[in-house]
Amino acid sequence: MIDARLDGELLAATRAGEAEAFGTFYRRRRALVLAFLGRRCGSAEVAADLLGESFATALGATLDSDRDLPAEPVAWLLTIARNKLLDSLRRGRVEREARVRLAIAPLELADDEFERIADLIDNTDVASELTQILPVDQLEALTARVLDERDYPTIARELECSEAVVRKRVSRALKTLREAIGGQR
Amino acid sequence: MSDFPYLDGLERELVAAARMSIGRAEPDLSRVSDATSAKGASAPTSAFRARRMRSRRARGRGGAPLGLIASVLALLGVSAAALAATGVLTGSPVQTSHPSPARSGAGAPITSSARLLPISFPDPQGGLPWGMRSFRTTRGMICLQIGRLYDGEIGALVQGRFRPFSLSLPSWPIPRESAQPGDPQPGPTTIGGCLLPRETSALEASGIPATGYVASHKPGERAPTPGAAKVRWMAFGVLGPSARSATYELQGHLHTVAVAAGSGAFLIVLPVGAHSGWLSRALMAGGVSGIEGPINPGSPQGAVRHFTYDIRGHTCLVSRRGTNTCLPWIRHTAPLAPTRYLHQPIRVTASTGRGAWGASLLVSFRAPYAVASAESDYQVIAPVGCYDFGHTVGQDVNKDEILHVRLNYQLNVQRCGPKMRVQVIYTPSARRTGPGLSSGPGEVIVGETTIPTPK
Repeated sequence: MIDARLDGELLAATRAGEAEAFGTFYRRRRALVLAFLGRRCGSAEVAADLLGESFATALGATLDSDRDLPAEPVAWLLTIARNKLLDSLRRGRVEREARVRLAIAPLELADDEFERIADLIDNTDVASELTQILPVDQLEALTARVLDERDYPTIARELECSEAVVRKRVSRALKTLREAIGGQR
Repeated sequence: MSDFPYLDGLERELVAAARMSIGRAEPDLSRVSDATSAKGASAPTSAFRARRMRSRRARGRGGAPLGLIASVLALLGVSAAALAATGVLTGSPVQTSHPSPARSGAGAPITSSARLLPISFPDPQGGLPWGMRSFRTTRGMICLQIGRLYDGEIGALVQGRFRPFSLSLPSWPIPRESAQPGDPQPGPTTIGGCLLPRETSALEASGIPATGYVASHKPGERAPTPGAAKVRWMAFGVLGPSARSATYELQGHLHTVAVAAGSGAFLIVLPVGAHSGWLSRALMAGGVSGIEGPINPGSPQGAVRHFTYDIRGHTCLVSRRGTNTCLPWIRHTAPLAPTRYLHQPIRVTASTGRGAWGASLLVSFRAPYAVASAESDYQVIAPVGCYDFGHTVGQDVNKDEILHVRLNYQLNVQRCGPKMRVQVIYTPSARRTGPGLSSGPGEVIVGETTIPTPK
């Protein structure tokens, strides 16, 4: 049965004690995160490793009652994945700290699945998906803010508009994205 | 049976972890076999050594590689006084200024070392072909610089005229609107990457202007948004002396180009339609951007389907999907030298930031060996419990110099357990021979200490 709840509702349910809700969230978003990572790191194996660490980090944050749950789970998840990728570049390895903390056992990636994951990455174009969902100005602002993590004043200078306009575009983009993704469930 | 047992297994593990955490059960760390688990004063594992080797590859891909961002702090009086008061560290004064570009990061270009590589690639829209040159830096790295090729020089087409590039470190990722108030005057930068000697790598870049002119922009200036016809996707790199050719796909057809004899250098420049992916994002963002695949150096990416090699008379290939038929013919290198322990004192000062999600360690130690090139370095790591943070000192270091390295923790370190172990590790150059280091690239653990986890 398809779980019709929004991503945010799944995270809230996870925190409330429904562990399976996080599994639903993972299953729904794993291809997107895999493609996001795979296109950037050029290796299906590394992307799969980073995927595990990214979701483990997301789970850890979800279960941490001291933290607010993300308002935009997909953007939040991609930001976590991006940070994991950058960390791995800095350190020259994919870290396992989040998985170790949660006692998630190491998993082995078989050759045939490696091929299928490579196909999955190839066939999922994150940018195109976002492009289809968002108008140009919103995508531009969202990319700069969420994916590139630049601050609002910097983005405003780049786009030659006020910070308020950038904030509004990002907000609209996230709203559009949320509605579009919600509609695709 | 599922097509994705790994991905499905990960889901089961996540749900189990969630269930265990919700039930407030203690995680069973014995299930996890990992180098980051605390095992007392054990030697670095092979995984750790692999990380160290890979980190060196990762550092060499631009003028400001991530792995080379130094965290050595130029703390003057305060640190010196604090250290003197503790008596933990003595020796040369604390570093008083940031090192010059020639002594940090990838180093500065050596003009006399510039060589035009014997490869070129026609531009998809005609006009001047693309070429690549190499040069060495003051820190022992070898850099590649790419541009339009004309009369034996690499440069750009600016307002229809060829302008040769001066030698400069390629910037990677290629800056988009990177200038900030107070930055030096923005100017053109070049495309390429830097490698360590004997290192091989294949890189991918998208959103490169057809002119070859990549300019950063003054704050407030709008970056030009080139049309698709004026943007290129490119793959380039050096694959080593055994490489023979690179094969790429364009409009459904495979094409093969020879690599440069000796270095294995290659360069492929295609129209944007050949490889979309993140390029659309770069275009939409109104500028250019770079994408690299540094985790698997030498692995084909993007439109590149495979590389062929001749290894001891055997022709083999490495494909984008991970197939490597060369493995049976690759000689294994000599094993690493045993890890050595110096047991020098190191000083760690912990501080906490906002809430439970910000903490940092200031690690101070005296450098037992000088660092004179990018081939060797010091690294500070905290390989304990649930975290494995680390930082590389990416600059030249004098023997007996006292260094201060800050490790920032962005996660909740309090869950790691009551104590943390901090190590300072020195990795010598593979070529270096000297007292105690004659056996090769084995790592040296300068010192380690255990501290209470910051609260």
